[in-house]
Amino acid sequence: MNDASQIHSESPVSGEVGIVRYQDFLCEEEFRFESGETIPSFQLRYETYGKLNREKSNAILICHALSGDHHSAGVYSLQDRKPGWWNQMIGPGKPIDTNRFYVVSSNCLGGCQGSTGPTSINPKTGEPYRLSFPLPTIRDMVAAQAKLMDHLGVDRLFCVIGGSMGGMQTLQWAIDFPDRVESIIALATTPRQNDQAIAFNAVGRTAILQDPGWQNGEYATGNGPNVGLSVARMMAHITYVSEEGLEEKFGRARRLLDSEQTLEEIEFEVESYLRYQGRVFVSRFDPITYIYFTKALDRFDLYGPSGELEETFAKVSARSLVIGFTSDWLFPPEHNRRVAAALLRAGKDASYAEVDMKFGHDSFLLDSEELSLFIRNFLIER
Amino acid sequence: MTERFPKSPFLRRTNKRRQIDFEIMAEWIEENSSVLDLGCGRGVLLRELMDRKKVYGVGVDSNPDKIASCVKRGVNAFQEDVSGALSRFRKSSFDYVVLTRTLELFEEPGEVIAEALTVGRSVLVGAVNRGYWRNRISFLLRGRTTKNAVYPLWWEESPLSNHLSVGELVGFAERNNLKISRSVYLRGDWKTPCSMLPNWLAGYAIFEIQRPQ
Repeated sequence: MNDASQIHSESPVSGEVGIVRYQDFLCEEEFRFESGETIPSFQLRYETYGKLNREKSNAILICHALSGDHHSAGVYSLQDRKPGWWNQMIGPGKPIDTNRFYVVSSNCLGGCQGSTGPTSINPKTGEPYRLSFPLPTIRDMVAAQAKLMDHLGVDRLFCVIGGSMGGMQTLQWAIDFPDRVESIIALATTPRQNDQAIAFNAVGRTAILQDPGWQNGEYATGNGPNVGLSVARMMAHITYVSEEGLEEKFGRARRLLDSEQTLEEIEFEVESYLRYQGRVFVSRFDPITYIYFTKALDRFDLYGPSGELEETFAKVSARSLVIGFTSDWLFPPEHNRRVAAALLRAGKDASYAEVDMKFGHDSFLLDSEELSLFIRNFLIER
Repeated sequence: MTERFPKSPFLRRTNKRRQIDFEIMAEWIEENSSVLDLGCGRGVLLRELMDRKKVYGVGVDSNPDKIASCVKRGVNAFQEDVSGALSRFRKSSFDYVVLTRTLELFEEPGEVIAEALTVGRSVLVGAVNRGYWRNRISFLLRGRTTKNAVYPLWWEESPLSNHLSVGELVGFAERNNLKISRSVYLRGDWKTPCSMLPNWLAGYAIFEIQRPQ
């Protein structure tokens, strides 16, 4: 192996996944949540790229973050200008190479983007579940994805990959299904959130719950706590970026230069950007799901009864790659290091790599040669 | 102090200086043992040990390029500085802790060796001998440190370095009541065994350091 060539070589010619379609998996079995509550059936929305080989040994599962979805690569039509959220990472010849791998990109149980969640109709009542939908945990999301894998005929995943909340799912997969997971890549994640992250989620939930439109969850579709949800998103978005990233993007750029503006008007470009983020989010995300998912994040805790992370990792058999991002102050590098170090203390095969990117927590979603190289090298054929 | 030269067939074959300590350490390290390589670079030693000795290996390096190479080789690698990474492991959790050509770069090498002896049962050190006669003469005659194949950089480009010699390391072990349980000295060619006056005549030295039983 020539190390020098690998680092400085140009990236191989890569193509696009192209036009994709989502699919819905309906599981007609009763689903029991960690809380003990049940729902009679559920649906998960997912997409697949590439082909499952005859040995069924080349499947990779992609787990998305809090506000992400199943659409991680490709476009829905030739006119579609916005490809899936990890399009630069997934495709023929790309780090997650669809010529080699069968990539499944799954949605989350409790979500609002095609999978069963609070906005879905409860078959027992004919009405939307709303707050009667059980509060899902990260573990529940993974258990539902495992049912999807059964349905797709995938007994064993070559790799589970995810960032942020998706990173939590990735770790949970390795813990709950040691026989079904050969390797994992967890990015910008944490074994449990610190108080700062919980605090930000609490403010977001408060904004939603204090909005007069909340109506205890009984709002009409589109007429809910829109302001609250939008404020929650605006604030959360700040935690996904970084001081340096914002400064590079906006540099205090002003929109209005005259002095006649009112206080309500947008003065700085960054304000306009955040308002846009809030507005777009309201149009595609459900407030109850937002509350549920942030709760799932807050409650996620991999530290065992004795306070040791390695206790929880004892049964893991997957090879792991944990990747932290230098400028991530939401799930900082140290949280990611703790995960990899605990896996190593437990005698597992694990690596920790740190990518020097300045765009904060969301760096993992961005195109970076360094990040691509880590993922490519980890998935390399041996 | 014991002196033993390993009978490695590879040793006679190779001319690669950078692999010399790998060869000797691979002889010393027992099968199925666990190895923590501090400053593991691209993971060549660990890969070799995994293949030949079935070890459980963990490498530590602060350079992301090197971590990427380790990941490609299928070698466990942890990106952090050495003392940060050492503090994450429990007492006696590794059979061997390896330090090859890194000791000179630490601010407090004594601390690092002490911590390494806590985490590992034994510490293997590979080091260039600054006390080698050519280095001494170079300084004596020219009043400058050496610049050659081993020290390729000019003064202004070279990293901060806490010069290490065979004598220095032996003295360190004595002062701290540590046992040098094995050592190998090589001449300036890093190949020929050196059996006398190692602090003068050895270009490269490899030690196994342990706490006294």
